[in-house]
Amino acid sequence: MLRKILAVDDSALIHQMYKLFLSRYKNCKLISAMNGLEALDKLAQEEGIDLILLDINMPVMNGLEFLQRLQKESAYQAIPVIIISTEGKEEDTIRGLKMGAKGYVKKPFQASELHGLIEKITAAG
Amino acid sequence: MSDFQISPELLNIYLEDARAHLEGLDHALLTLEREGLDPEVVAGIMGPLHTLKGNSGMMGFTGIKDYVHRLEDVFVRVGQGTVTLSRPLFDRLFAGASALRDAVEQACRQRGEVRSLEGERTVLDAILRQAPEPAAPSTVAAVAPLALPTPAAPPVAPPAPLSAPPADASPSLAAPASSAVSAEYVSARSSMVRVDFSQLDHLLNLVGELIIHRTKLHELGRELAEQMGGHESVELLSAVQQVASVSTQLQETVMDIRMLPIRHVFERFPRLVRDLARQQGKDIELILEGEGTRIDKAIIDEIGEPLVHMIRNSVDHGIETPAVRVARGKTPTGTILLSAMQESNHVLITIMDDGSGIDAAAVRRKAVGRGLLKADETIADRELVQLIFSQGFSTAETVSELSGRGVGLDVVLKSIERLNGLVEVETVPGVGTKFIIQLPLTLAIISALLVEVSDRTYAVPLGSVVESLKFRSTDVHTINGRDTLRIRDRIVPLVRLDAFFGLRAAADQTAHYAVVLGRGDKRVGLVVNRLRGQQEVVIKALDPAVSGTAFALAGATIMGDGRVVLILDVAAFFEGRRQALAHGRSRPALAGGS
Repeated sequence: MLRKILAVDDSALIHQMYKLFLSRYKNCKLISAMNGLEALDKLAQEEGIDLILLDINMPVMNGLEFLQRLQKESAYQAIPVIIISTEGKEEDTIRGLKMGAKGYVKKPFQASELHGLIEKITAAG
Repeated sequence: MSDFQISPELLNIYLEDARAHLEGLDHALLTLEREGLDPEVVAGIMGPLHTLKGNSGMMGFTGIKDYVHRLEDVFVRVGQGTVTLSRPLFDRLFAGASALRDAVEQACRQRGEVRSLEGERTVLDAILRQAPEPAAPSTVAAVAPLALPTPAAPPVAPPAPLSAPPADASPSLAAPASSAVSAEYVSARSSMVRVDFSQLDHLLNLVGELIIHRTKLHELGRELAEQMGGHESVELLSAVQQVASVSTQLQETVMDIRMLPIRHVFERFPRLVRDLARQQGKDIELILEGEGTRIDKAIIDEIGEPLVHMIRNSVDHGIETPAVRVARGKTPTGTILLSAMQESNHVLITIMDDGSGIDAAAVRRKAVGRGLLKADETIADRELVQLIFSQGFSTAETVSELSGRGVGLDVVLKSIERLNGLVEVETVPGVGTKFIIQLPLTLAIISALLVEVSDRTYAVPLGSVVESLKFRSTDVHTINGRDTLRIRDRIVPLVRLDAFFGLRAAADQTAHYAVVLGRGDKRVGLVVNRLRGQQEVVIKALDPAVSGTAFALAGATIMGDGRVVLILDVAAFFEGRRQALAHGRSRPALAGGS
């Protein structure tokens, strides 16, 4: 069962969307971070994060840099990451997948797409 | 988007975000146009564009998304130097940015895309076609679209081995090397919170109520102390004092939170001035000063439109064409200075241009033609030019179809008065014109003169009060069926507030007070029974059904003893329905709603 999802995106709108889309996972806590650095902070603060939804293009620390840091940290390596990719940035998505991300959803995504992928990945992992 | 509803809340977040990004776009374009290619500026706009594209896609605004996507491409090429910066290019990009802004605003209002950006997108496509392809990127990028799996399928790329940590000890996330940097970011980002403005309004209301009860508590405490005396009552009073001091600080803090730098209004003007100047073949430099001056957000929201109007006015009629300027011995480039500064509890906004000034003779001709001035009336030039704010006054010399769009500066005056502000103009023919707008720091608290009418108390905004004086019934002269009072050499029409509000006339009719209100050169005297002094009052909004000019009520406030006092809307007494006002007829009853 999903208990905690960490959503990393620099857009307040996307966070609002997550709130809306992920409300179906009852008892699941949604933790928001506006960039990679903030996400690392949240990881250190919150135990037992089950899934990370990751935007790539962000200020301060982008998604790929974040993935790199994540991979170096044994405590976090096992947390599945879903990349939320944007049109025109396919190469970044591929790099992210090579760096260990479990899957990706392309913006604009629909709730059902996200649900499908989350359920697939968290059930498998 | 098909499987969820775009909520108003979501739209708001999108719009607020999009506006910020579009400001950023304008700013970047202006900087590039002024200072030439700067890779840092180009790089700086990529993030906002990217976010705007992603957000627009999420909202289902695909036309906007596609346009921004093309725009990103253009900026990439600009950064690479394959698209060269030129005047025609800037014209196209600025026009596109305006169209984009328009499309975003309309899409948010209509909850769906209504304005097509098809044409604008074609323009960008043409720019991209003319530019040589950027240097071929890595092969990964070239095959990327094909190599990408569908979202539901597992990724093609094999996941990196999760269980193989690097041979060397992996640096901790809190490694000393990075901690200094991260600490900086941590403190920077955690100091900001986004709050809905209505919550601040609510907070201010609560604080207002707290202060009211505090006053009451204080009075009760003092009474108790007088009756009982003793140690406890002294303690009680000192505790009440503490509460008083804390709640005053609380009020100041909440007021402070509502304040925003006036930059939020000013930042759109460089673009406006640029566009207008280009249209008219003028060369204008806009200088902004004091953008950091803070003022209540409620005023920020309202002051934009009047300022746009006045700046257009300066561009259209103030600044001359370069040829005319040179002929007059001026620099070909005109200057408009827009500045803001705080002065005690007011903010002064100045719009100054070094253009042709206002022709006093033309103003006089027009004023006489409109019946605003008698042909032989002597009036100082300084006062004469203030007439440009009169209703229906519009001369070719002051308002054009461009700046006015059929409305004159009287509309500007009205908007500013609605904010309890004042506006004044100074001009020197051939040298320039200066508009000075004085605004209160906040709309939430005003200085008011409290007056009593038939045992009821009303608050009159002090900014509109010219003077108040005592008079006898015998001083009143009836002219054309209307009561007037001669004050020095002026005939001031009177409005009896008791009749106006349908109240029973006070028993004591021997002496009255007139509170003389001023608006431009107009005067109206409100007849009241007593003056009760001035006081800062917290304005609470009334239901629109019973407030506004039609009811002559701007709001209400609650006094220390808990009584509700209505605040007069001064503009109502100048609206020209004098007969109706004087007799209190044809007005909906306050108690019965509309």
